[in-house]
Amino acid sequence: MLTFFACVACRLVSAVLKLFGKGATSLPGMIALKIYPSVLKKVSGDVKIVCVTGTNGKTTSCRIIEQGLIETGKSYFMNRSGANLITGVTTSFIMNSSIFGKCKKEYAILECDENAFKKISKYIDASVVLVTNVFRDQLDRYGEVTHTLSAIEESVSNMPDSVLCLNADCSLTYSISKKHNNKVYTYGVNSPFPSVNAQNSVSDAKYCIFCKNEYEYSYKTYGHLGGFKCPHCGYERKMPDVAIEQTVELKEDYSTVLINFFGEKDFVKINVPGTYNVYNAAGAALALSCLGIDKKIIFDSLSNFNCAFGRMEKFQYNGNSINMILVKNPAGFSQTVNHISASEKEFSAFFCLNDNAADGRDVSWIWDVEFDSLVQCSKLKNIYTCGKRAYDMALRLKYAGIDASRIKVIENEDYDKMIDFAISENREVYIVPTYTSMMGLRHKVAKKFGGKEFWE
Amino acid sequence: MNKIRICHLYPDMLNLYGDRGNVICLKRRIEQRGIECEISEVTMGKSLNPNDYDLFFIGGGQDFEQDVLLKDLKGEKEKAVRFAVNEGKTILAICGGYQMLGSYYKTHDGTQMDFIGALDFYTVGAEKRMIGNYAYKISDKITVAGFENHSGRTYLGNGVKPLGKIIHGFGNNGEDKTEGAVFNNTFCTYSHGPVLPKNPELADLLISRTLETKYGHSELIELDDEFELKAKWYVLDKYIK
Repeated sequence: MLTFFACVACRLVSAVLKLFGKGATSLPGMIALKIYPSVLKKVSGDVKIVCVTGTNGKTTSCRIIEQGLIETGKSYFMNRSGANLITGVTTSFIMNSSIFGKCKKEYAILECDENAFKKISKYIDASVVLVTNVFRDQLDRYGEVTHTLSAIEESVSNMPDSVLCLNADCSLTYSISKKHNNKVYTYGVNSPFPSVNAQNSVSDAKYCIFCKNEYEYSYKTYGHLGGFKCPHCGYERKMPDVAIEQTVELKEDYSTVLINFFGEKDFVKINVPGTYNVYNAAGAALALSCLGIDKKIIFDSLSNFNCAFGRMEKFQYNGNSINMILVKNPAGFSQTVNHISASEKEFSAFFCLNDNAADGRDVSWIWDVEFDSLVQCSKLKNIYTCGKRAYDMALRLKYAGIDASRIKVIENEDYDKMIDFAISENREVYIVPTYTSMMGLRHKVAKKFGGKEFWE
Repeated sequence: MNKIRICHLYPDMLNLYGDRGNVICLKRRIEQRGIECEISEVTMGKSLNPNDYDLFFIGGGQDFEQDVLLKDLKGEKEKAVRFAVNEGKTILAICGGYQMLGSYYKTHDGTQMDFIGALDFYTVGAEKRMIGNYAYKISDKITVAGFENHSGRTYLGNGVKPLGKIIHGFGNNGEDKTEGAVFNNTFCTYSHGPVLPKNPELADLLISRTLETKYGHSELIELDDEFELKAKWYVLDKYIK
């Protein structure tokens, strides 16, 4: 009976909010949980759930998994719009259920913020949990990088029957396999990416998580990812079940890889650029296979999917591309800088830095980003900074070695002005925002250059 | 040509909050004054001769890595650091690096970790982290804006002075309005961000103290600090009005 009331209240609130043109994701679930705290357990009981957690790549991985379900014709839903707290997840389940709490969809894909995951995992039983990686992220919220890992581990302990898909190249993520009895499969990249030198990149995990001795690496892909081994206690990377044996090409719009899929090798196109998306593709492919999806369909999904909003999106304007790439932490930002610096055409870059809670209140992380490739890039024309912390961003670029006179600061978080500048550049443009700047920009960019609103 | 030799101590371990930005900033501001600047990274297992350097930088780290580091520090490096402090070498220590120069760190369940005691203060762990933008005044001319993120509460002894007085935020312990510590030319603060790029006056203070000790003069030509000061004033305007 309580389930019924909770579901009805949730739907009502959502309907009212929609009436006023609001894309409500959180409030309806909050009210349902107030009425009946176990409502999430009730409505999620019969659904096959995939949880995707980790620091980077959650949204893109979810998009690929979604593509796999679309291509098999399965019914599913996803917690969209970055609504990954327990309230948002509850809203998603109820909106996809009957008013008696019976879910109408066979599958659910849940993007889980590491800390919210702790709460959600108490109420749901995921079939598959994909952990992408653990990097430094929003340290002011979680304290330190090992806290992020403990949050994920606590969630895993709540779901002993879930199959874990772990990144074998991340010593922090893979350590979960040693401490839990869940069934584990792994994915990874077996060789360095072409033209990326990762030997000196900032490492978030230099020392063994178990015995605190320094890891040795046979190769690195980026950050602390790669063929790690602790010479002291022997903790080491294991050959993954799904491995990218070789990255054949990293193009501006896609990558081609040689994938070893449970022992069978194939060349596959990944329909999104960037080294970190090679990881996301491998992880999502593994998760899909754990759901019993056929290999051919999985590979088709990798070749066919489109990017999530703002993650790596391309708009066309007067024959020029406007590319938007979301950045959240040093590892992802450094990869983004490498990606745009490899542009074949002349381009201008816009860096938008905010310090709201969802971006991380502390902006010091930009000092751990590597800008060398941008400083040396001959294709780079003009540089703009925007967002609340536009001057911090400008300062970082200045001390990275970019002449201060080349940096134009757009004050007062004025995105309209920014878009005007982007248009007046009349060449290839890269916009690199943090999370809330991306949210501030998204409807303006979509309106100007075309694209769908994100809560649809 | 004058030359400043910077020792970046434990860059491999103490590098948590973009702290390397402080070294990048010092090098650039030194070189813009026509002074040569050489940076040496002294990592775990490497020996440290304090006479080889004029300016030392020690950053902050994670709790997880602190005991690995203590094993290394407690050897010959402890003496070297203490010597540098007492000789009046210029030192900037941040957060975890700051705490390690004191006598000890006691966790809130009572476990005590002994540090090197180069400066007269100690730190006690608290359950609640002190996190946020904060600001403090070093002198009438120098106001520092930074970001603090620490669970340790530091209490100063008689042998040291606070680096500044808190205007906004927690500082050393959230109680006595002090922030950081100064002894000779050793400067300690909880401020990362990193602290120097946004606070060029503090960066120049460290540089002129170093020149004074080494060459007996400390005049520095002014630089264009537009971005630096605007980045600082964004924080001060927002939180300290």
